[in-house]
Amino acid sequence: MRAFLALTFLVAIAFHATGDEPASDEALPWQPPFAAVSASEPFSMVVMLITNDDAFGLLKAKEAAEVDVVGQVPPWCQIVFERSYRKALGTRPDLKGRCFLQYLPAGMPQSLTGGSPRNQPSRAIIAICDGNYQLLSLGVGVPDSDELLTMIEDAQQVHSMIQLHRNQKARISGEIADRSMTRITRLWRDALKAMLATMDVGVGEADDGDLDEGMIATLGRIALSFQEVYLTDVRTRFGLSQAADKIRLTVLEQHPEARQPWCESMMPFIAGTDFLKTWKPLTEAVWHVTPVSHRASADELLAWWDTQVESEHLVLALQSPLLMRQSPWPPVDVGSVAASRGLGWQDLQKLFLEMPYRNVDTEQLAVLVRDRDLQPLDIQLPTRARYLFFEPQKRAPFVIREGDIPAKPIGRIKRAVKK
Amino acid sequence: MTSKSGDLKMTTHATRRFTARLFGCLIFAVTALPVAAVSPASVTQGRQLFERNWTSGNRQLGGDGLGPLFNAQSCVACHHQGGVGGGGDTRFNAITVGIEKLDVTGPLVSDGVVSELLRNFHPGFVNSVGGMSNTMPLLHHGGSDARLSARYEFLKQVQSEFSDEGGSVDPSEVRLSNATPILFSSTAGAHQLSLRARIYQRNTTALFGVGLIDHVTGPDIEALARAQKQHPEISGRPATLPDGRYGKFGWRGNIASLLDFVDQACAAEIGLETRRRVQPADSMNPGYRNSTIDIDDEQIMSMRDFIAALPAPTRKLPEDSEQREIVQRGEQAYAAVGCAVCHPAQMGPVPGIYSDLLLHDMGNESVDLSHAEPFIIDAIKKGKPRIQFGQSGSSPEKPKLEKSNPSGSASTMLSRSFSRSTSGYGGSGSSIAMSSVSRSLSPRRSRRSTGLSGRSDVPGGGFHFVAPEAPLEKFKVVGGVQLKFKPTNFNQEWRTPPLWGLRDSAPYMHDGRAETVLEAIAMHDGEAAGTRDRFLQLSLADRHAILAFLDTFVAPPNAPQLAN
Repeated sequence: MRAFLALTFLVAIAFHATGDEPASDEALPWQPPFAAVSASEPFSMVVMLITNDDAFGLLKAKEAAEVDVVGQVPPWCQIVFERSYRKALGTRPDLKGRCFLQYLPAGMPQSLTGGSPRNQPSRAIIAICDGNYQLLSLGVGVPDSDELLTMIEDAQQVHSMIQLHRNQKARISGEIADRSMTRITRLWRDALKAMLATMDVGVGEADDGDLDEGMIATLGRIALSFQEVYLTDVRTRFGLSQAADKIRLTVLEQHPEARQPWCESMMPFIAGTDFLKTWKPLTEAVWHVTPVSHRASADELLAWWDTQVESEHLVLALQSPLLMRQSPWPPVDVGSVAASRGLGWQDLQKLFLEMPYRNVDTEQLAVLVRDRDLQPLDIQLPTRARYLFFEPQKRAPFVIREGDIPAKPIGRIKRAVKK
Repeated sequence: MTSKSGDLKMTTHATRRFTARLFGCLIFAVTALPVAAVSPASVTQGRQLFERNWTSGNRQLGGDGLGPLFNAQSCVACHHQGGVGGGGDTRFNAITVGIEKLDVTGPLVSDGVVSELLRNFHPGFVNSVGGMSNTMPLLHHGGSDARLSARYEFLKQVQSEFSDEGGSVDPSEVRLSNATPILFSSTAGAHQLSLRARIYQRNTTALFGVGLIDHVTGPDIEALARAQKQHPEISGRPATLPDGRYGKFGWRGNIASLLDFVDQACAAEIGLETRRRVQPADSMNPGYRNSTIDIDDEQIMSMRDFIAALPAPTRKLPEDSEQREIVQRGEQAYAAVGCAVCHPAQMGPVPGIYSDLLLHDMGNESVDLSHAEPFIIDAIKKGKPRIQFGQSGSSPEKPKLEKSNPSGSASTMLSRSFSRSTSGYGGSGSSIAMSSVSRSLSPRRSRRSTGLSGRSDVPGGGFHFVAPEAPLEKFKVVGGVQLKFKPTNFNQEWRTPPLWGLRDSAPYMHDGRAETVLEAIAMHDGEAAGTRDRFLQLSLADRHAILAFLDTFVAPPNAPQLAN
């Protein structure tokens, strides 16, 4: 009996070793994000994986374009995603040679979180674009092969719509909305109908091709409106009820089904937009954290910095996240006493404008901190950093936050400048 | 209701063929189990009855046949996913209205005042002798125009979308329904009533393999309950019934045997009165009485035989070796995070069931006031017991049908009376306050608590008492043993549903609120909160692996199918 079991075991091992292993475990050809892709016919598709991995600190700006990012900073979900991708292409061999994988790590750099990692739980977004980076399909989380195939088929359908109805944004939007309506629950259908009623067409672009502030605001308004529905939805779908459940929700968002209704509802408004311009506000809308690309550069800022930093006090005003830029800054001072004494936010702003002053966004600041070896600072906690006041020869700025009372920094800065 | 007669009809030839296959399955499935002989003719007849589209009137027996109130015209109308006997989606959910909170103010609040005010809400909450209940089944079809109109008004308030079949159109509508209270206020003379009620739903379970569950014994159940006593998080308890048996069927384990299940379902869901179960009554037509039964014992036995012969769900492993390895890893992770504590692969003689058949507290999001039979009081004993309460419940049940006084359960969801005279109301989800002008009374419980039955064979120094009328006392000396009573969270306790057939039995949870397995896992709370959190703390790959493992649980491929 024992001999029989041993034989069975050996047979099992042999079968396992020689069984129907996957045909190929070759490394998948990952490209850098937004690399040039030939727009061949039938059309090429870019499958872009955006994660909140922090590739920023490891790569100097000049190196970023050349380096093998996947090799240096593998996406946290590489194994699962590659398995899905391989299986999807196994099911649809016609897609081979037409799909291009790209990876964009965009987590908050540790240099802007005080040196501690703050990109947990891990996040992922999948965007499918055409060769010109027009957005065709969007998903949040890491899809399994079936989900990825659905995304690809959706992308092909949207591509056909765009080809068929060129310059008819309303029609494309309407057809995508019709498709979404069949996939979402009544709660979402009502929200989508309401949004469609208030929006003529999707998020457009300014004449010069840039996504201007007004359009970012529009995108933000749509995303925020659906975010409220989303929270109502996930509360009941996943039994979330407390603020502490936010982490659970983030983990659940690693599964595409969690945000699928949100994505379906957004698509009528964002399909066909230039993803090169919309990826940041869209990512921010999902993560509620500004994405920071390792490829960002800030040559002009660095040059300006180099000319000022040795001898002058200088101020960097950190811009709000993209979707919050409609809120006025500096805020109108609520306390009339502070304002009457010259100790309000407006007064602080005036004081700063008397010295070298620049508006910077999070990416530019990350580049500056990295490339000029400044000390890590925390721009998120305890409240969002608003101004960075640098004194000559010092690598660490005095950080003024939105939660501060402006009178205090005003006094300190005046004293510092008088020295 | 849409007539399904056209869909459900099957040729005699086809029926015979499937019955022969089924009977073969039965022989195969139960060779190791003690089982009374079952004739193929009985299985054939059972299937015909299971699929029969019942209509009003029964010439043979003289009863009123279908209804007058019913949830569906046939068993298969609800039990059809993956074949005859499968589960049903949310459209086929059964519905109950439960009163969460009731306030009566005014001078000298009496039972009569409360019942008069409550009748304004719906007369179904008050029985013919003035007893009041905190729950009321809201059957989908039949009855007087007034009843149907009242049902319509209830559902309209919820602002959720209900199907023609009666239940919510999909899981999201179940969730909306759960989230929306029904508010009502009424005045009678100097008294004011205000109450908050809610719709509760129960999803149709698949019946594949339940013949095997019927063979699970008391000691099998006790062994798992005993093992869980050592667990830091999980504390499943047997669903002890008033007669001492353990419940193994129903979402709250309130039914002991498959035969009882069939008996009760006939009466509660189709309105077929049996010798033991009266059909649901139309409270807006109180004078109506069925002259006799609508289905006889032989028919019930044959339906039981048919259901017992249904094949058990199976597993479908992926052909791809890489995927098989993932499934294997998922099975290990499933055990590692603790899923297997409540969902063990084997329960007594039943392999692959993935359930302990015990009741577990699933957290307050899963409250449903239409609680089940075993209204249990945990009693912590001090001193040695000198008496044995109730029956042992540990011998395998033999199929039998005994005539008893017909009970008036109007649904597989039982109502519990909550009037001051009959007591038993309350639980974690109900709040009843009756306020005189200057005083407020907290929920009362009857002092008539001497009729407790119970069991002393659950280890750990405790008793599980079946206490239809909850004791008011916190301590009591019974047979020289001092007992400390501790009510259970019975309103949020659920029998662990078997996971077999999972892939083909969506939606999930007791009311079908979860559309996907991931949603169902995330909704686990109460005792299962730790396991849920450990699942979410796994790597994405391991979570995928567990989901892949669960995706291998499929409906039996040889389940009988409808002709069309």
